Amino acid sequence: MEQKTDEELVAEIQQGDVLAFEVLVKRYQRRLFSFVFRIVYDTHAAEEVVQDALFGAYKTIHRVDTTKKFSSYLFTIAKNTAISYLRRRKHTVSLDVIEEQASEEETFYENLVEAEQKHRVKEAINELDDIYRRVITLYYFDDLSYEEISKKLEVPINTVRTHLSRGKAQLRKILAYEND
Amino acid sequence: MKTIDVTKSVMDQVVGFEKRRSFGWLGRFFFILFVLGALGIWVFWIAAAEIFERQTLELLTLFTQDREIIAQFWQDTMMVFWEELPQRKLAVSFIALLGAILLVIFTRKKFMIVWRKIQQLAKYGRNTENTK
Repeated sequence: MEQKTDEELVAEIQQGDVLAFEVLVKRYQRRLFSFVFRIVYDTHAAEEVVQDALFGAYKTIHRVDTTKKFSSYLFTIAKNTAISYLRRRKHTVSLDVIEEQASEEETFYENLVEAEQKHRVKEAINELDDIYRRVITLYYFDDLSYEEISKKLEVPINTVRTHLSRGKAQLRKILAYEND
Repeated sequence: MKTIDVTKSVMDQVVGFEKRRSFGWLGRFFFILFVLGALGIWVFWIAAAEIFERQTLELLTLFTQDREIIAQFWQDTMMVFWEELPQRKLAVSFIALLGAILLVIFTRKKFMIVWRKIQQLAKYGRNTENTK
């Protein structure tokens, strides 16, 4: 369960697997906490907001589009929940400033996550068997088609397909192992 | 920075919410199914009693006669038979039973999801009991 992507987990929750949400909670609670803390500057409040945001995300999870990134959806909910919290507290700081700040934090955080993920994927690709690494690099980074890769490596198209599929499986295993 | 673990409190909230939502849906589903089914069967029962009382089915014994007699009288007999039937009651019964069947057909996917959710809630309950 822990090895599944966010989108796979969301799809399972939409099919009635309520407990799959626990994996998402464990996966995101700390990141959400640090994100929300930068908006509310209060540990207890941040914890409360994270709880509300996660619960809010669950309540509307049946509307989530599984073809889009779940993390963006979750962080947007967290941002809105944090802003609502501040509104309730009648904070003296201008809400425009807070919204702007929250938006910057969100972008910063997403960039950070994206950079980290890219770095991890690159490292994982380097660990792949040579033949799989070459096919994956040509397909995903050089944007070559199966046919072009087949000509370049002088192997049949079906071999390219097989290598690509096995390479992806190996890559998944490496990334899953790193996650553990 | 402090690290947090809100897993249990969030899951408790989720489970509580899901219990209300799933059992609420299931309650509404069975209520509608029961009302439609009971209405359909009840009205059909009344219609059937009326048919037996009027001995409407006796008209169909024509079809046990010789071919010539059937050929001569079948249209008239069927017309009388149709007129004799308690049509409104049969229509109400048919619509109610059809509604119940359609309800089951159109909500079967949702029903399976809700059923799976209830099983998961029970599993969560058992796990929570074991960790106490």
